[in-house]
Amino acid sequence: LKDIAKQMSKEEKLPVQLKALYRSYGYQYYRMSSFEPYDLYRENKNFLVNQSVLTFTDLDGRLMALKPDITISIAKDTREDETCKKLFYSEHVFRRLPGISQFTEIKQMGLEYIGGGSGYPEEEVLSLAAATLETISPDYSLEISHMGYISALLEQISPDAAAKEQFISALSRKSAVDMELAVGSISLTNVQRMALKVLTELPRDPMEALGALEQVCLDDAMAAAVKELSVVVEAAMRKGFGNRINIEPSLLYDEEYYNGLVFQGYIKGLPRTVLSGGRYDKLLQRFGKKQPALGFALYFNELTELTAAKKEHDVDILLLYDDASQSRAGAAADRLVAEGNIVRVERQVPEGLRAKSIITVEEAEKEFGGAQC
Amino acid sequence: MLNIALPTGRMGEKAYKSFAAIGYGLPQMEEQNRKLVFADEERGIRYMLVKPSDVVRYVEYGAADIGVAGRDTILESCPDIYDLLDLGFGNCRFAQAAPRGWHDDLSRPLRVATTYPKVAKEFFMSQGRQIEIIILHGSVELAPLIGLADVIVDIVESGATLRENDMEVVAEIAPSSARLIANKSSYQFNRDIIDEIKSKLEAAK
Repeated sequence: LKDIAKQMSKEEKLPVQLKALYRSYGYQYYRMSSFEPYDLYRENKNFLVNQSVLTFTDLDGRLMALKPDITISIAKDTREDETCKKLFYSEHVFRRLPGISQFTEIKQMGLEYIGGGSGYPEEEVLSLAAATLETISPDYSLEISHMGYISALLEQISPDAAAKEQFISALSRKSAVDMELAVGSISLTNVQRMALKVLTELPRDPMEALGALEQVCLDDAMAAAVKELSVVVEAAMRKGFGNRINIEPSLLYDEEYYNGLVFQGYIKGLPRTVLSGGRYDKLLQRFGKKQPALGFALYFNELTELTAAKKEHDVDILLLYDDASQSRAGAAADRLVAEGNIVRVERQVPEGLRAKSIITVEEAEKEFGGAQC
Repeated sequence: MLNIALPTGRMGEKAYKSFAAIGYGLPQMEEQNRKLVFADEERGIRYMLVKPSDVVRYVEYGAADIGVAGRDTILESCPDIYDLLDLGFGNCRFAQAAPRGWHDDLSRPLRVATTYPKVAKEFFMSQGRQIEIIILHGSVELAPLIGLADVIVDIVESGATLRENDMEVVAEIAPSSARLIANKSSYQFNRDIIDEIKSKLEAAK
């Protein structure tokens, strides 16, 4: 097995490592079909990162879609009486990525904890998210926030729909000036003004950041959100990844679906977030289910820069044969492979192939000590 | 290495002066030449000069960790970046402008010439006005004068260009100014230095 692992690229190894990680915490592998009726996505368009869905007509005339998302399917397929299930998946989703005018097939792995409320379940899911990132690279960072905090804050200052949209867009960019522009026409109390100001000026230390948020809570819902985040951060500290955590109120998901803890993972050297997750009780509620739910997904398309094999050679040995040595090439190759080399057998040097060494069958035989193979 | 994307042109010059004033100057930047990348390996700084509307992309895709971009380019291309500070220069605004004395004919869609289709579309949608967009990459003011469009949506600084072409602002859309922007991932890992630059630039404003 070690030999196999040695030959695997990081990209091939990662799913195997992650499956083992999720299994060891009792999560069960869940396989799904690649299609769903299109209506499922039409009704939940805002849940999708990007609203484009690749559709086709099934043999019975129904409009179907190639899955753009996995969590929606898991939420839909959860029975009302399933109070607790822990699943992980490794699937392909079909999305339109920014800057590309075609649909792209994206490998995605993730886990879902249906029935996971606050407290330990959040600690477990966040720890597994941290372990997922750690498996990819020790240089990672986890941004966390709480949707309940921002939702309650917005309720307090009650902007109209246009101002709210502008405010959310400004906050997601951490732009203090644009946030002020967005709520410019609303008369705010000093405390409300402070609560907005603090959002873009939090200290780096997560506990200090939570302390700053706590000071400007305008109601019980905001205080409860800070409390819940404190529990999660304390757990992260206990488990040794507290220094990876950033409290980041600019991290915003759609509040129609997400209601509690939300988080995003970054890897040093990769420009965009590679992992995102959080509490999506509201998604389940849309399907008439009462269970709380937590989960996250890892996007393999964001990792290619890191996982792409940066090898100098495609093979260790390029073994060349001619008419005379053709019948002995197979045996020579087997012997070189048995020694642990990656061997490519060809009659001529293939264009563009980078081999560490190029030898003929005769030369190989000579190296084996003159013995005819 | 901290990579900084600055726009070419006037805003870039001002931006570089601000960075130089807080100790991030590079003598080679001040020489007259056509180079686009300037690096000081020892101090770990690299500047790149790029087209103003491209700064947001360099930063969004992580080729630059931070940059200086106009709010106009942020609003138009909606990059996934942090907009950390209003630098206090490059002030201008998005506006709808038309030939002096223009009267809107509500019986047909409005023909709008602009370099900023997204901003224009959102503005007229919020007004409930149906439009036809003509995307131009320069001399937008010319379009209404020769009948290519009814109005324009463009960046207005002093309004001098409009006056010279016998046009006037008929509606204000959004203010703009130069912003210090950062790549979201870079910010996670270089937060100390980026925050330091931010607070120094803010103090020097």
